[in-house]
Amino acid sequence: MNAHFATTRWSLVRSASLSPEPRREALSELYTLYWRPICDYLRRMGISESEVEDVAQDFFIGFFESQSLDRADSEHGRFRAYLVGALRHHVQKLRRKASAQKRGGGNVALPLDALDQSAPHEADHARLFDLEWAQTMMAHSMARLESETSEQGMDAAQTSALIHGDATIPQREIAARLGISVTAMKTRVFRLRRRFREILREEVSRTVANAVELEGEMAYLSEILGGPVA
Amino acid sequence: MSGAPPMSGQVCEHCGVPLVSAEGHAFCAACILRSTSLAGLDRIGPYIIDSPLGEGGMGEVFLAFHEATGRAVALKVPAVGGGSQRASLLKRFAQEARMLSLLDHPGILPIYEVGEFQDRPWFAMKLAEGGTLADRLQETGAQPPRKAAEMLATVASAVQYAHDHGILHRDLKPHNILLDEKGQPMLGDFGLARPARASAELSHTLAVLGTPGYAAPEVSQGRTPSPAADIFSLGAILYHLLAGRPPFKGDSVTQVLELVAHGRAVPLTHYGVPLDLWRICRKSLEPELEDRYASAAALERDLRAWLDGRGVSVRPLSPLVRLSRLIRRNPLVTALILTTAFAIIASLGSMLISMKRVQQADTVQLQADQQVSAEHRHLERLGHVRLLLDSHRAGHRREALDLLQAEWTFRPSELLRSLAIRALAHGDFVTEGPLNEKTGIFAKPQRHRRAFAPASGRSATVGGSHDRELRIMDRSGGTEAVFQLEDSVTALQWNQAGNELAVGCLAKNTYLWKVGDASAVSHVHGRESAAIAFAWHSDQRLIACQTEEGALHLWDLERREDLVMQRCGVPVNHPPRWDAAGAQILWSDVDNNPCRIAVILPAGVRMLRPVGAEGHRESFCTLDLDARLGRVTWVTDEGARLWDLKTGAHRLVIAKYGTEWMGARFLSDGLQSCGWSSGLRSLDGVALSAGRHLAAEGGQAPYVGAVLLDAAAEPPGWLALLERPANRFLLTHPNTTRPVKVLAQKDPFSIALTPDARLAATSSFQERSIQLWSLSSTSPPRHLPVQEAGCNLAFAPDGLTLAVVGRHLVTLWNTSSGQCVLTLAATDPFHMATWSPDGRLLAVQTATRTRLHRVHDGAVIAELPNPSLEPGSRPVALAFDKQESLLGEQREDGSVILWNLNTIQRELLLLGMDWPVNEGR
Repeated sequence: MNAHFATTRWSLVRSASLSPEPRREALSELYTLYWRPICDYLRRMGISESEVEDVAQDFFIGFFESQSLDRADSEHGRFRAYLVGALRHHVQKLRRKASAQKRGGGNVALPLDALDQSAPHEADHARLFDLEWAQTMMAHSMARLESETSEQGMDAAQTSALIHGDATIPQREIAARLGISVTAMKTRVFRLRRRFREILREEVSRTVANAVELEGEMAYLSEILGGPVA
Repeated sequence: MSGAPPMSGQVCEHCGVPLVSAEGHAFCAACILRSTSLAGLDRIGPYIIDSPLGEGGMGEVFLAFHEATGRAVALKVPAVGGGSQRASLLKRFAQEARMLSLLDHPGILPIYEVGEFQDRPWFAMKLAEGGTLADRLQETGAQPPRKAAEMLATVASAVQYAHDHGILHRDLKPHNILLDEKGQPMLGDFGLARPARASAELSHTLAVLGTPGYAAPEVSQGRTPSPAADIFSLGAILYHLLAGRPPFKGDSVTQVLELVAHGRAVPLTHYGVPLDLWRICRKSLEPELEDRYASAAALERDLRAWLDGRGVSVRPLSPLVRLSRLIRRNPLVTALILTTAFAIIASLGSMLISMKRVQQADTVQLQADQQVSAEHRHLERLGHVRLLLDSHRAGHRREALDLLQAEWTFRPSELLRSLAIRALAHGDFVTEGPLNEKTGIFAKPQRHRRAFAPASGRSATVGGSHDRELRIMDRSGGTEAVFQLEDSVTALQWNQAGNELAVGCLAKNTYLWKVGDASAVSHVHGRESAAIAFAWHSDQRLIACQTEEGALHLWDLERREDLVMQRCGVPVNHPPRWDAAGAQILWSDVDNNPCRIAVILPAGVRMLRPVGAEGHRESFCTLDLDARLGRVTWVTDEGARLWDLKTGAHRLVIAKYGTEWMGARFLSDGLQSCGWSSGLRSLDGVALSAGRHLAAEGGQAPYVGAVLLDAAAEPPGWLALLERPANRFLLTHPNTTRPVKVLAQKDPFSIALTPDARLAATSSFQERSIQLWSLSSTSPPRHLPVQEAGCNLAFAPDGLTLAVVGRHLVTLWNTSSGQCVLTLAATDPFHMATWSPDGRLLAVQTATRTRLHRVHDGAVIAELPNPSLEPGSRPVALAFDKQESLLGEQREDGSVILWNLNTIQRELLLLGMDWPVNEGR
């Protein structure tokens, strides 16, 4: 997974609607960040597994080509909320189309009955979408950190063990393996944890417009993942 | 783009939240967010406290991180209570912070920030990631000379920088030298530092006066410190770096301070350190300020010169310099010698002045100075030798002998010879190179719960509460002995024959059990750690012991004490063993490299120490030797004992009846005893070999109440006895029932026979007269006019000289002419004398010591020491073998020391020391 993002921010997302080159770039970045939450959202909405990826791709292309980004104004809330709205709208559109085709005879297999009866409430869909977004943020951040620490000779398990408060591999053991003192190890742990927070903030900041919103998103991310309340 | 979902399907075992997967492994997002959150962490100022780094003399030190920059620091916070010392501690702390902030040198730990938190000051210093030099030395031991010199040169440069800024450190030691991540040393803990010219007021408020062993003697004595004190401490650190141990190590602070005051450190050359480095170190460690380097920079210059292969400024000391230092250190002792010397100088001087030859007087004075100086150096070295011989540490024997050999070339003397005999009586370990002293101490030694002896089929099993009970079972499984030890058993080892068992216990004592014993006998006490393994030597008289701390001890079963010990880093669960020749002990170090140590055994001496065998001084000799058959007999409170020198077997052979006086002598075949109550009894050679024993019984006719005093060797053999109730001396043959001759000595006390039974001598405890009897005639005895009553008499082997031992004088008499030919005097009372078989030496025992005198002029050849570390008990008897130069000394504690004078003479010759028995004739 490519976990590096150069300058993707809300502002860039907005600019993506203006010229073709940054647009493709933004598309790629949004793909990475939101692909999984969107696919999972679609699955929960009852889209069959074989069609989920096609539907998601259609949504992305439609989202970009329909000038939706122009309407995704930074002044009007979080991009993620906007995206969920657009997705909901896209599914409703699909349902209507499917319903018409059912009446008129189409061949899209959308089990509308099941969708209507077993799908969770709309608010839960949004929350699950957010949870998956938050987990993606964490996974991306962790992957970036591991890629950085691998350059210092640490493997992913060691990085994870050190950054984790309750490590399964003792710090003393890792220090001995890396040939450094326990004090140096503790310093490294502090820096690792600090770096993780930095990366996480960077990742989240890509989807927000300003510092106030960033703090809000960080707090929300922690809350939704069950982390400490800031 | 990856298609894998972020949820892994697993659940966090701590918080139950589903795990998130990244790069193929899963993690708990909630836990990570908690552990990476800075909320709820302890903070001091802008620093987040991680963990304690340690406690210094005056506060806690934490590993802390700057919140904004992430910089790791050592954050020091003083531990101040509310007591009266609060103000002084705060003052010291503030001072340390101020001192450090004044100093900017790569060799000094920099201070980053100072602040106050909840009324407590703090300061943040550079974090030394390499720990302290003390930790490093603990882990790796002695450093290679170049590395040590480089490190100390850096520290010396930092100290000079501090001195240049008017600041003394005053507590330099390995704990206060910190290492950065590259191992570069930095000076820290300026808690005791103060400006060189500040008032002494602050120091009076401090309880601490440096650290013993590293602080200069003048600092420990409470004198105002100077830059020279820091130089002393640098010398101590250099020593520690090179030797792997501090220069002054003692059992108590007082002992350490005494060693410091006299500058008594083991020369580094003994650790294989180049001589020039030792000279540099020694100059820094001089007890007197003015003898040390003038500045830390001078010390650094010499270290750099050594590193560059250039010559160093320190040269060997001239005798005059040594003299002046000795006088300063020992003013009282030297006063006497100097008075004499000055008297000589003065008288010579006035004579020369009167002859108007003033210039020559200067030369004479210089010569006298040199003489006094050499004299002092000599005495100082002898003092050092005595100090070395007061312990049984490895290397001390060699060092003492080296020093004595060197001094012998300066001035040979009986004193040097005696000290050499004392050194030769020590055991030693010799290694080819440095040993790996890492013991892997964290490993737990295997506890021995059972030991089986294949040769005898016996087994020993540990049991009972706290593993203190030891049960010995024979081949058929029957219990042979059960006994309780002082503490849990830590080691068990049978000898090859399976009839003796060595036992170690947690109380650091060792025991030996022998077949027939009801309990194990306590042997060696007071080791520093418990024995965890034993290796029996093939001669069955020695056991190599390994202790928990990796030390080797050589346990002499005859002496029941250790001959020598050394910390060798023998790892736990790597037991030592003997090589095939029994000359070296072998083991593997923690890295499985083979190690060996050669064993040097005491030369010319054996010490036999039976258990619970005390004896008393009698008016006759209670000891007899038979070198030909390798046997010794001596009488203790229980009766006559017999010790087989070849096998080490020993037992009580003839028991006393009550608390009677008893004597025992070897006959040509067997052993004869005579007791005040048990009378004359004997065991022949066959009975002795068969292990027969005579139980206590009284009333043996016809010599009831007789005490065996002396025996002549000539066939058929004669016994001289004191008979009761007639209270008279009489002569008889062994194993007969009637007296042959009666000697009418009034108030009989002592008697002696010539070996050819031609003459007898008797003394009274009242009269100042010795009577000399011719046994072949009936003529009356001749009187020898002695000055005091003779308490012991001894004929020379040729019968031509009689030694009369009085309380204050020993006189030698020509038995033909009746003339006194020699008189010996001593400061403590005489007790007994014995002649060497060749008649050239007379061994004389006083209340406290034994000396060997040359017979022809009475000169002392040597004084025999107590080879044991046990405090010396009084000598009670002394006897030479009749054929060989084997001398036995019986002591009040029941032990017997055997000196083989031929071996001693040979060893001394190898050292270049003579044995002048015939000189001066």
